Amino acid sequence: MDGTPLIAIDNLTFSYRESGGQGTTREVLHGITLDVQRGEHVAVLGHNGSGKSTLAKLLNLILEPDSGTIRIDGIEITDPDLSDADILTLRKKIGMVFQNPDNQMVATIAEEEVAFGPENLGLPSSEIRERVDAAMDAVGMTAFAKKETARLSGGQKQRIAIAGILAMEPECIVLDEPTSMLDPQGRKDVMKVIETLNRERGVTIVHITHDMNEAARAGRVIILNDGRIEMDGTPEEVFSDPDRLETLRLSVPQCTALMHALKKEGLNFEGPVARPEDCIEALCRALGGGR
Amino acid sequence: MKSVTMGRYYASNSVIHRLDPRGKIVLAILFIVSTFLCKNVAAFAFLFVGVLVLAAVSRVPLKVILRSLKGVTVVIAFAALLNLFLTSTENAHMLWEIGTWNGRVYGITEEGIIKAVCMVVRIITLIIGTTLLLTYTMTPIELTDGLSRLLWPLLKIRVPVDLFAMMMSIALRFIPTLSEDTERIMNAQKARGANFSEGGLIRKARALVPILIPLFVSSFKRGEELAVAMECRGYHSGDDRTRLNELHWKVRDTVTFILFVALGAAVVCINIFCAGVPFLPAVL
Repeated sequence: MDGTPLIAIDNLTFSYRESGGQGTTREVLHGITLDVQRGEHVAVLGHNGSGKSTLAKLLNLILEPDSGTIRIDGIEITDPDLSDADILTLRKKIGMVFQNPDNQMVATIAEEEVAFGPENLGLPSSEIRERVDAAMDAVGMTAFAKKETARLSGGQKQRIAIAGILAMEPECIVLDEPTSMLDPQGRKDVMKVIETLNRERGVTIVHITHDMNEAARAGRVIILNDGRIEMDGTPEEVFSDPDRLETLRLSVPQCTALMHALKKEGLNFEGPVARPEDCIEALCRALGGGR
Repeated sequence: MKSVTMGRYYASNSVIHRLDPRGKIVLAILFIVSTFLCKNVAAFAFLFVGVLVLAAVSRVPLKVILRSLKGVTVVIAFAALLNLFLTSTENAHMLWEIGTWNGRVYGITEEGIIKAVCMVVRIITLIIGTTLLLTYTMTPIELTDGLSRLLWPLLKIRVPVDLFAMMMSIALRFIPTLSEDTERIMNAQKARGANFSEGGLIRKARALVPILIPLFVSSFKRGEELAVAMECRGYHSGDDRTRLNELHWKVRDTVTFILFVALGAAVVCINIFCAGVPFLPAVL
């Protein structure tokens, strides 16, 4: 691993043009500075309108910033002289998965959907076939390769969407609330896929989410508030102060809330906890029994 | 709304499924021409058997095939009745005379019955044959892919065939999504007391407005999101895009092609040699 971060954002600002108004703009990101290293699993939290999705779209040049720079793998993507080929390379490096699985599917058949990205890269068909099969396998959807996407469940569709990105062999996948429209089983499956990709393949994950329990599974949690980075640290650090999170209109994961409540009642724990399994461990230790 | 089977692919791995899409489009055209070449009962019977063989080979269940006919039952019934009652009664074997009007005799004739049956068979074979070739055994992407490759020479005169192909495949892909949307919006309106089944034509049409407007709005939103997602995945038009499934013309494609040409030729032969069997003037 070399020293340059995969994503290096420096003093980034962005504003939307107000619809209807003459040239009026509304700034949604005010000076974001942020580095993401290779192989990290970052969760981005924030209430509605905090600028999370905007930040995601900037990473892939779907939106262009007002000022500031974004470097992906050392290459400045905010350079206005960027060629189409450079943009294609960028989109190959940073893949995006969106909230609504129905609105990001191009093809009717699952494997053709997964092949869409590699087809855009102009790969020979034998290599596309290899990549599609590998990506389908990675998300556990091999059995559904020839099925119609319309007949899949939300969670399955979202896994196909992830496979579609994976087939482009990206270094980083940005997921914009990928589970918010799914049922509990779908969420679980998608989270499992995300974690496996990060852990076993070293794919960098930037996961934008509303769900505190999902955020707690990341290695690092960034909290955005009104276009600024409010907190940045491990889940344990970020969730250690529930009162502060409340002022940011956010909550803490269930198990963290439980620990805080027990602490107030006088039970003694070492350190804050964000994941259910750590919570069980800490509880067992505090109550004097082993697991 | 769920009965939009015309655009539905039936997954299987039969020979028909594996045929080259370009070939299948040409075969469908050949087949349509053959149905219109039929001039007598024997030819229709032959073609009908042909279509049954095609159905059997494609391994698409009969139940699924019959579903595609459900939408056109009215058309079939209308065509049958029209032929039954309006076939010229001159020199015909009258079975049941209804009456005379404007100096013309109306009634059911033997010829009328034969013509009606032939018309029904013609429509049914036409629909089954084309849906079998073009929709049940071919994914919408294969269809647009095949079509765009057949039309590829048009790129030379700057017709953006690839863009049309992409637009068409996306349109097809969104049929089930939009029909679900429609259903959801209708249910939402029904829950608020909207009534879509009563009243005259104008009232029914007016009741559709509160469905169409939200449908348009949601389609635009979907379109916008899809465009962003496609951009993220590096979509660009042009001929440097490659395909997962490259098309290869194989021996089986040539064989089926020959079989279909033979089918058409056989129909013409039957027309000539079985001319003694009740003759059908080429009305349609």
